[in-house]
Amino acid sequence: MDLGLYRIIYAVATLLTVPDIQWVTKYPDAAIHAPLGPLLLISGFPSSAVLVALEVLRSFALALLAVGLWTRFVSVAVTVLLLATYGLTYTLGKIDHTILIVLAPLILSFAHWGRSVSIDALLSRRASASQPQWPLRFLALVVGLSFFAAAFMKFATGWLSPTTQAALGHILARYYSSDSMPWSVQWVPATTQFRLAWEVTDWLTVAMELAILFTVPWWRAFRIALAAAVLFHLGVLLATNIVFSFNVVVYGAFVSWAELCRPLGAAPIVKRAIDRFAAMQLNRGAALLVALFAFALSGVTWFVTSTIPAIGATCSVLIILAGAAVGVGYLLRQAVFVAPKPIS
Amino acid sequence: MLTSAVGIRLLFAGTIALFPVQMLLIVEKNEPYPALTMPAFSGHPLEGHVLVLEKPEFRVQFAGGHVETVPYESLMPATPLDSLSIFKNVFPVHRSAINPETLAWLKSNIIRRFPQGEPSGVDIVWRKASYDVAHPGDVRFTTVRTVHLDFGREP
Repeated sequence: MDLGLYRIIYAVATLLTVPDIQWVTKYPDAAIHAPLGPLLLISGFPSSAVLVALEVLRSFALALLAVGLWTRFVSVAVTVLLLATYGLTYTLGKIDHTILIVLAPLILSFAHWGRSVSIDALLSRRASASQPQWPLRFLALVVGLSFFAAAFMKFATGWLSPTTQAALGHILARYYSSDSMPWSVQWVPATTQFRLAWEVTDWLTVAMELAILFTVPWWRAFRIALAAAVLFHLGVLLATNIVFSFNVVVYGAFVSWAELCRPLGAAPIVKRAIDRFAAMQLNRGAALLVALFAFALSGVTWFVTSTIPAIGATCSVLIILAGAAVGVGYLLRQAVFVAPKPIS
Repeated sequence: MLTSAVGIRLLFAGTIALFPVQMLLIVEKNEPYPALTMPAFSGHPLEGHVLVLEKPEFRVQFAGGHVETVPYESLMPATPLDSLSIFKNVFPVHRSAINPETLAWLKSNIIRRFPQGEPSGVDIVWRKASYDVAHPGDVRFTTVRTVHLDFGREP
């Protein structure tokens, strides 16, 4: 149930925030400076029509993932399409580190995330098989290794030296590089004299990035590390205006959504809707109708988010805020309800 | 295969075993894609109170001798990615490395930005800006290199 709900959250959040890729055609083919890997095969940008087709296909696959139709196949398609569309923009030589949101559907397809709260579940009418645990643990390992790589590079380039205040330097570099930073980050230059606080920030950043890998074997510790990570992403947003929402979406795979949604599910109107959905009888024709509906929905979403980029930007900020709220809630719960009580 | 116990162990072991190879590539060559890594923000740009940034600019020459100076990003298409990284890839510091197609593209961008004049050439001025963060507004520019591109001749 948790992963079924998460599949919907992942697909909707990604559908609303995936970037437009058509801007790459405004650059000449000579600007291609592909990173090591399969992108080296690209010698010229595809036409705008091909890029639009890729965007529409990507949205369609995400809509099918949201409704849970042909989930195993669609999960692989989402990974391939995200890898390709993000990759095309990285051929200009700047990689934006979206690997977690790309790999999550492929990995979670092995966790049978389409077997609940899905059209596939209504079509198969099979008793839900037990959910294998290894895909979630593997996703946790992938998240942990990715952060370890960043921590390693920071450690190797002097972040932990007491004289560097690297986080402050990078934040100020971003601040002074831009002519128009939003009001939300204009507090940063006023804090340059608090060197000790910024040095502690350097150490906490590296510690948080290492903690994600080292807590992978223990779910509770790993979730605490992820809760710290979403607060880190909120801090990055407030200090640099960098919106790293795609990672926050991936951390959602480790949230007990069924438990979190229980109060909502207890409402009579929601309960009735769930019961009615569970009792539905679907055949292959109905599945095709659902696919058509998903196609229409994805087309509208693609058109609206491409035409009004502010929608994607706003949704990304909301994802970080929501993630931070869930993270704080989880940390508070650990502190209040789970921490050992003193003997009175 | 993948869902068997052996396959799962191989997947975990293989991922962990390949990770150092990926790190070696990142450190010794360039970051591959796809790769398991997050933004590194390597290094520490702040030295004492001084922050040094690259701030290249274009000095566009028009027929008749008129010159316009503009920030580098004003002649680059809008991008959601870091435009300085892309700029540095598009315009290498060595004149001979700049592709004729790139030159024609830059000229068309200049004409779009300055439709009233015919550009005859452009200087790419690689500058460093030194900010004294203790005294906001105190900035010193140093020209590191100037690359001249002539639109009248084949590069």
